[in-house]
Amino acid sequence: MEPGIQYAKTSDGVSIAFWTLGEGMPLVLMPVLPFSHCQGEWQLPEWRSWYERLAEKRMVVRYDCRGFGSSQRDVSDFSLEAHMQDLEAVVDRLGLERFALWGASIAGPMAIAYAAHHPEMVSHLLLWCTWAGASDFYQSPRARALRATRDTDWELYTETVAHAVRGWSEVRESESYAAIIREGATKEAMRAAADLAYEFDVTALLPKVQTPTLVLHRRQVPYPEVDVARGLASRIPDARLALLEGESAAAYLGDTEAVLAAIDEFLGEDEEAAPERQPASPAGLQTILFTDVEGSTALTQRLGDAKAREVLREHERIVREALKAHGGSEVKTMGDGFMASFGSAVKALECAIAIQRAFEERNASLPAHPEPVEGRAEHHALLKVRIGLNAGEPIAEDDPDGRGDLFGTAVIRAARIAALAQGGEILAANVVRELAEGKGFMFGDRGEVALRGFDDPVRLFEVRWREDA
Amino acid sequence: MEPRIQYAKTKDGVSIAFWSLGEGMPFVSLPVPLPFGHIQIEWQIPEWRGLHERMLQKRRVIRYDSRGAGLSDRDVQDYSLDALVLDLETVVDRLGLEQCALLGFMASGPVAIAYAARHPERVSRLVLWHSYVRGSQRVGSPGVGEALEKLLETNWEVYTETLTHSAFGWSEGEASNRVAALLREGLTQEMAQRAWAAIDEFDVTDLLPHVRAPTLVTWSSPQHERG
Repeated sequence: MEPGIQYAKTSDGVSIAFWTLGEGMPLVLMPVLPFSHCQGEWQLPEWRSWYERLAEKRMVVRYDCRGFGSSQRDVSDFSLEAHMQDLEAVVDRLGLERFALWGASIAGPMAIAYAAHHPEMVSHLLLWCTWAGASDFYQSPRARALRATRDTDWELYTETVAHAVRGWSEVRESESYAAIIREGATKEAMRAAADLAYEFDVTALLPKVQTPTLVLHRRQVPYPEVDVARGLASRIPDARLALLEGESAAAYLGDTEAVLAAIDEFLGEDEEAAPERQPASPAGLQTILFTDVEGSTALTQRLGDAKAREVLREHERIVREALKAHGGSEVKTMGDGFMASFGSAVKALECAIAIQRAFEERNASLPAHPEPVEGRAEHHALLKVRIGLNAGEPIAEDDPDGRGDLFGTAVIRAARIAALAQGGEILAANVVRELAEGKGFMFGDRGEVALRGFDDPVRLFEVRWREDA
Repeated sequence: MEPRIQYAKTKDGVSIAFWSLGEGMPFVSLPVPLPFGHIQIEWQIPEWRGLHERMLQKRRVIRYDSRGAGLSDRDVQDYSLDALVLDLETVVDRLGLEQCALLGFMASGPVAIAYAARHPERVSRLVLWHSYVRGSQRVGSPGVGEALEKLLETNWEVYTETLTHSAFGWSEGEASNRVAALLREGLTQEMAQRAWAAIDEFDVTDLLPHVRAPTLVTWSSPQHERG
């Protein structure tokens, strides 16, 4: 079944084509330059069955980056930032709160960069036959020869690449593959995008990746060599390495079952391991609480990383104390925000109120007119927190290190609700209000509000928490 | 099923590759045969795989590559006994093992002994197999050490095949060629020379009285080669 192509628009106005297949936890595949044709790929049987197998246990998202495939072609910016914008456009359009990210070969550095900068978005990072910086390979005689062919004989180049990927015996398949490559972009776009992408070097970001990472590699792949994969896995904190047998750098060729088994195991969806895993929290109705420090980016810019961190640590201390006092489980922290779950809506509401009161108390204790001494005044930055509450039955899952996480519509809505709140405000979905009916909470009706990524609006209530309210 | 490789970083910044499989009492099988090793490729050698699977039936098994070898960081300067003990400490700490049993084979023996002497409370059992307390004791028969050293300098392939053939017996051609290939893949010729020179200096004689764990010393057939 071939999925329908949809479009998303980037923040700089470029149309990006994508499709989704399957249901469940999202796995986003980054385009592997210099070729990308998310629609054309469906003509090749191996590709088709690869996507179908991948999507059996999850939702697979595949898109074409700008300049390629079914995405907008007349573009010239192929910088790392542009690639990030392409990914963000698709993720935003689908309303994904958290997703697993797959970066193969030339897409590896892009996936690493995105994960390092957005730890709150990426649940799992999967790196396939890739590198942090490819300059050695790019300057190798083989790579130079390939580029020379590309620049002089476009057709020969695409056929050479197709044969190299597909094997020289499969003439027909290689020819159709070469045709898809040629259809996928102009020679100029391919040259501009690929030559630049080979220069991306994210080596310095590797120690900063917080996402659980699986480095996958086939041992007999000529480039990158297995040592490159080893270096990658050893430099990303707590990364795992899966070395498979085979010589094809294309995951959808060769022993694909071994690749799928490694992916399933890492994403925690292998049936065998399932009974061993403990759900992060009891299944059933949960109230989800999100906090978010208002203006944390501006705060960081104003105070600098170290001081902003200090202020944010105070936020962490206050929230954690309140969670502890009200029986909330911390699901995770995003640096400037928390996600927590409660078995009781009443407890969640009480906790949210306690958090707001604690921040108000803290802010009131700051000097009214901070002295304009450098560094000192900024130290006492006001902290205002948005809080969003929703209730539902999220899906509980453990990541490979045994830390629990929650997924699902209820979670995404809670995050969206928090984003709508002002600093110092608590917003709750109607369901939370109903669950806590008759318990003496004061609600102010904010009416029906549309949430990004959801068709049906939700009725929101402001929770009054000031004593004089 | 094959294990997934994970990494732990030592205090001196070396990434150590390890895996952990099975349930029960943790049993750390030190690098075999030190200074060689490759904890992933060893699964492709049927005899080795069989041994692991057998050991896994009753306990949790942990294997790691020492610094300089296999999937751990290859380019290391410090190959002292202390550094190798640090590798083991790093893996044990990373897994949060309160207590574990240790298996030291040949050159790994002094590492296991040193660890057991320094952390008596964390070692439940110590098994030493074909091991020794001084690195200089690693070659039994006269003349063999010098011959192997010469071979190591001159012909890496013949050297590794000689090691494995003499260990497995010359009739086991195929098995020993597979292991020889593993030895070559897990270590560079240059690193092997440096590592052996360092191992020659290992001496844990003074530490023996400090070992408190019940210890089993095993020695099966005559062992007249090094490696």
